[in-house]
Amino acid sequence: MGKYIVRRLLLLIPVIIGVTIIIFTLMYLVPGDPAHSILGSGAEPWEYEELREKMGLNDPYIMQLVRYIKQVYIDFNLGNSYLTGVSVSGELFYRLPKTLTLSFIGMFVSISVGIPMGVSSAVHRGTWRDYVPLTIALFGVSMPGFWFALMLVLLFSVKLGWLPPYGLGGIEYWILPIISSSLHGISNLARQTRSSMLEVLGSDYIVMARAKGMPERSVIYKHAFPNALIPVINILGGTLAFSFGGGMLTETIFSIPGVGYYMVKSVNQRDYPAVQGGVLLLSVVFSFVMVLTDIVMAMVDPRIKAQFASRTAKKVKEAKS
Amino acid sequence: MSDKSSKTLNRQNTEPKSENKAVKKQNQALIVFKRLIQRPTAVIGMVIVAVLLFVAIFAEVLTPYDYTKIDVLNANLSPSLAHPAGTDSVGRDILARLMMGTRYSLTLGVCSTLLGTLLGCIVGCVAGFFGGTVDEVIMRLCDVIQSIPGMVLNVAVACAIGTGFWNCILVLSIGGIAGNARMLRANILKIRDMEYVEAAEVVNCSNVKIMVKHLVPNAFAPMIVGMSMGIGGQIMAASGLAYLGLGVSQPTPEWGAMLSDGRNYLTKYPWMCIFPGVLIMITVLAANLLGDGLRDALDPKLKK
Repeated sequence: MGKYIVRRLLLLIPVIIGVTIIIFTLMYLVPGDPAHSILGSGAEPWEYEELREKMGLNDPYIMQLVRYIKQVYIDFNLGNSYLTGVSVSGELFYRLPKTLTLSFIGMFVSISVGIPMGVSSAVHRGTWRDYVPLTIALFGVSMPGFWFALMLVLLFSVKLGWLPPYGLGGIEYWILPIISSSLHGISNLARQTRSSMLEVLGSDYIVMARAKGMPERSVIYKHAFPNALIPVINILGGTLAFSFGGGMLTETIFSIPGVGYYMVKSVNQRDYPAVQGGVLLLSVVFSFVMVLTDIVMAMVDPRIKAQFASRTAKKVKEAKS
Repeated sequence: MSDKSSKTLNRQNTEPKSENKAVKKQNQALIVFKRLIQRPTAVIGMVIVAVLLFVAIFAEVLTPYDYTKIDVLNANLSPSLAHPAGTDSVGRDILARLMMGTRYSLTLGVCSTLLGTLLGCIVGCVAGFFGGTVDEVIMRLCDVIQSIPGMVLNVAVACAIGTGFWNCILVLSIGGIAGNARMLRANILKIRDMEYVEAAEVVNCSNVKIMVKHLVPNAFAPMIVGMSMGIGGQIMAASGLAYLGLGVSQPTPEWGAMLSDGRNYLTKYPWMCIFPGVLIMITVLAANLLGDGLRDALDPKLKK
C-alpha cells in the first residue's frame, strides 16, 4: 500500500510541471504588453523598453519558461502582481483557506446530503420517496450554481433579510455560499448513488443475501451500500473540480476574498502572474485530492487492491464531466 | 475479361450487403428512437428542445419588439401584458432578448460540443490507433490538462484567447478536448484488434481511411450520450463565463450576459435576473432529460 501511495505521489510531479508549462504558455500567448500594464500608458517608449529588458520579456520563450519554472519550484515564488507589485504567493497563501473552507465544507455537505438521498431514493424505487429527491436532483444539476446563488440572495437577503448578501464575518456569512456551492454536488452525488445502488440491488449476491433470510437493513447497508459506493467515490474528485470552478463564481457573487475571486479580478485587470499562480495552486490542490480519492478507492475496492502493480492512474477522466 | 467480370461480380456482391447494412442501421436508430419515446421524461426533454429550436429559428417573427431597440422612457418596467418579462435598464424588451438569446445560447452549446467532440475524436483516434509513444504522449498531455479544474481552465483559456461569441465557442470546445479524446481512445482500444480492422490493414487501406471509416464510426456510439449531456454543461459554462465577463458580453442577448447585466439590479428589478436563469435551467434540464433517455435507450443492459 505504501509503495502504491508513493508511486502515485511521484507521478504527480510531471503532471504538476506540465500544468505549469501549459499555463505559462497560455499566458505567454496573451496579446498585450505587461510593461504597459505596469507603467500605465503615460510613460516614455524607452521606459517600456527598459522594463521589458529588465523583466526578461525580450528573451525567447524557452528561456522565459525555464526561468518561470525555476522561480516557482526552486525559489517558491510565483512572481509579483503587475498592478500592485504585491507577491502573488503571499496573496494566494492568505486567500487559499477561504477557498478551501468553501469547497471542502461544500463537499462535506454534498456527501452527507447527496449520498443518503440517493440511497433512500434507490431503496424506495418507484414511490414518491424516489421521485421527489430525483426531481430535486435533476433540477439541481440543471441549474447554474451562480444563478441559484443569486436567487438565494434575492430570497434570504433581499426579501426576508435573514442572512447577509455578501462579505465576510461570522458563520451567517458562510451559509448561502456553502448552500449554493454544494447544490451541484448534492444533486450529482444523489443521481450517481441512486443509479449505482439500483445496479447493485439487482445483482445476484443481493438476491442471495435476501434468500438466506438476511434482514433488509443489513442487505442494504452491509452488502449493497459499500459496493454501490465505489463509483460514487470515483466521481468525488470531479465534484471537487466543479466546486473549485464554481467557487470562482460563488466567491465573486458573495465577495469572498478567495483564490477564485482573486483570479477573476486578475483576469479582468490583465494581471497575468496572479492568474498563473491561481490556476497553478488550484490545479495542485485538485491533483492532490485526486490522488487521495485514488488511494481511498484502492483501500475500498479489493479489485484495485489486487492489482496495485498495474496502472490505476486513469481516475482523472471523471474530472471533466 | 475475367478481371472485369470478377469486378462486376464483386460489385454485385457488395451492393446488397451495404444496402442490408443501411437497412439494419436505420432499424437500429428506429429501435433506439422507439425506446426513447417510451420514456415520458425523454419525451418531455424532446418537446422542450423542439420548442426551443422553434423559438431560436423564428425569434424575430415571434416577438413584436426589436431586441436591440433602446427605449429609455420605458426602462426597468416590471412584467406586464405589454412586456411579459419586463424591460431592462435601457428599455429593451426582455422577452424579445430572451428569445434571441435562445439562438445564441443553443448555438454556443451545440457548436462548442460538436467542435470539442470533433477535436477530441481526432486526438483520441490518433492516440488509440497508433498506440505506443504517440499514445503515451497524448494521454499524459490529457492527464495534465484534466488536472486543471474545468471552469478554471476555461477562464485561463478565455484570458488567452479573448472574449466574444466565437472565442467563447473555441474556449469551451478546448475545454472538452481532453475528456472526449480519452473516451474515444478507450472505445477504440476495444475494437483496435478486431478482424475488420485487421482486414482493412491487410488490403492496404490508408491509416486515415481506417480511422475515419472503420474505427471512429464503431467507437462513436457511447459518445452520443456524452454529447447530449455535454450541450447542457457547455450552456451552463458559457453562462458562467459570460457572468464573469469572459464570454459573450453585452449587448449580445446571450442569457449569461443578460444575467450578468441584471445582477446590478437584483434588489430593485429582480426579474432581469430571474428569467434568463430560468431559461438556462429549462434548456439544461431538457438536454439532461434527453441525455438520460438516450443513455437508457442505447444501453441494452438496463432494458428491463
